[in-house]
Amino acid sequence: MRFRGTGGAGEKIELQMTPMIDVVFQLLIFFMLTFKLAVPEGDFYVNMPLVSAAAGQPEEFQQEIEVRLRADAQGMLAGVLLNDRPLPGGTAEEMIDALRNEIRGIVALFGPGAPGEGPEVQIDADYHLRYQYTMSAITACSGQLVEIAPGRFEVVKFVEKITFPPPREPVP
Amino acid sequence: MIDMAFQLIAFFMVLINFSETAADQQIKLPVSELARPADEPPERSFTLNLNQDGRIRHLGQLLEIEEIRPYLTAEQRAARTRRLALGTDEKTSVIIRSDAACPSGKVQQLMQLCQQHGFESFHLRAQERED
Repeated sequence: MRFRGTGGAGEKIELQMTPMIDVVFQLLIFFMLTFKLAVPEGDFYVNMPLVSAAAGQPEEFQQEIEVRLRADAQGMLAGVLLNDRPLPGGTAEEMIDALRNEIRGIVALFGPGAPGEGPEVQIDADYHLRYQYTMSAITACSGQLVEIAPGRFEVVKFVEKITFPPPREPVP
Repeated sequence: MIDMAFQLIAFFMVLINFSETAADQQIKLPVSELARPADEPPERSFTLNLNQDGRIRHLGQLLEIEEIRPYLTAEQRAARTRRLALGTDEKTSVIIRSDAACPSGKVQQLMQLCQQHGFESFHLRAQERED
C-alpha cells in the first residue's frame, strides 16, 4: 500500500472546487425539478346556519332571489331561471351573462343595503350539474370585474349572501 | 458562476414546500374571475377535497361523502373543546375544494352533512382565471 507522505508543517490544504460545484449543480437540479408553481386560489364565503322550523320568526323584509340551474343529461348547463322566469341565452356563457345583468339590475333597483343586510340569493342546482356552472352562477351573483383604467380592474360587488337549499334528488 | 448557482439554490429552497398541504393538487378547481385570496384567512378551518366523482380524499383514501362522518364528528368535538377551553365563540370554517366536473349535488350533500355537525361557515374555493 502506498501512503501519502505526511508533509511538513508548511503543507497547504487546498479546497477541491470541482466536486463542490458538482454537488451544487446536483442540488440545483433537484430543487428545480421539485419546484411547483401553485395557481392562486380564492374563496367564496357561504354562511348557512341550520334553522329549525320551530324557531322560525318572521325576519325583517329581505330581498330573496331564487336562481334555478337546470342540467342536461351530460351535466352541462341547460337553463337558468330567475324567480321562475327563464333567462335568455343559447350557450352557458350567454345564460350566465344574462344572470349577471339581471342581478346587477336588481341591486341597482333596491340598492346593496347595509353590510350584512343586502339581498340574498339562493342557488338551486340540479344534482348532476357540473360544479363549474354553479361556481359561474355564484360569480355572476357576487359581482363583476370592471375596467376602470386600461389594464386596471376593480370588483363591483352585487350580492354578498348566497345560500343553497337541500340537495335535489339525483335523476336516474 | 458558483455565486449564481448558490443564489438559485437559495431561491428554490425558500420556495419549495415539503410539507403535505391540505390542498389536493389532483383536483381541478372551477375557474372564477372574482376568485382572489382572502385578506384574512379564517381563524380555524379544515379542508375537504372533492374529486370529479364526488368522493373525498382523506388521509390518502378516497371516501364517499357519508363515510366522512367520523372525521366531522372529531372536528366538531375538537372545535367545541377549543371554544370551552378558550372561552371564545370562534367558528370553525369548512373549506371545500371541489373539482369543476363534480356534480353540484355532491357539494350540496357535503355542505348539508357539515351543517348537521354544527358547521355553518363555508368557503367554496375556486381558481383565479388566468387571462
